[in-house]
Amino acid sequence: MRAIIVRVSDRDDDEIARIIAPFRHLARETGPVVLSDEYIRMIDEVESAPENQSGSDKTWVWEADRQFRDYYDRLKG
Amino acid sequence: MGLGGGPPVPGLLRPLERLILTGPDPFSRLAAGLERSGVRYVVIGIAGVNHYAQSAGIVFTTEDRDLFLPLDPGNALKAWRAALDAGFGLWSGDEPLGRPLDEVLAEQVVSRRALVRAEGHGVVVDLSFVMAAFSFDDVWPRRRIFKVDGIDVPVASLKDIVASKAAAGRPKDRLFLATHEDGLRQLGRRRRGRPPK
Repeated sequence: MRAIIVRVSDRDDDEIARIIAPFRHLARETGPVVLSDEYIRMIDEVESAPENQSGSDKTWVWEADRQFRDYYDRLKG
Repeated sequence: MGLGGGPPVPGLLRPLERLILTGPDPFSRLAAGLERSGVRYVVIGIAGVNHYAQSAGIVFTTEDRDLFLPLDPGNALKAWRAALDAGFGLWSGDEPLGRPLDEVLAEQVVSRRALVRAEGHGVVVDLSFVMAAFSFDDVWPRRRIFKVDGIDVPVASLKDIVASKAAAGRPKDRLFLATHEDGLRQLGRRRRGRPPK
């Protein structure tokens, strides 16, 4: 379900609130996310790893991606 | 995302066998063309994050690859021509990118910061002038230059990519961030010899 349409022209606020109440849990959160300190620390660790410095060979990443795509293509038939 | 760990590539085929059977990877051809043409770009999005994965088990799958380009019409033009040479078609919205491919068109596209999509061989590459919360000049000095099939591939820093996704905060970004954070946490536990929760 993408949207709930409520015709509001002849309804008061309380009635609108009552109508949409059962659907509030379907609302998706959007907007900026605050990253936890732990997450930022883990990212720093990953970035500072020797294998993640410029010049490192990442051919295996593309090869893995290719293999996943081939696999899913085969599944799709 | 799997968390199987293990060796980087569960290769069923050796690289040469794969090359003979399938030909060069289209994205590799594009990256080689971009390098030859001296195009300035960085890989961002999930495709960028994957370059920092510890093993094939924590590589995310994504339908498209995102390349971030500076607001430079000449550079964009070189990128589009490299994509065409690599056998990709160019799209803007639902329509083919206009012709002729020249500076006038490039200036229009750049001024609107319009997304151009390169599609071909089952591969989709977004050539974007927008990265949430960052300008190109912000991310360019912090990029890593990784080697892929002997090609230099500039990739935005992991911290910049994650921060951009956090700033955008769309549902798919939130899902990615939660999954990525959990993946890193489990990896850390495994490294410290504790079983993942």
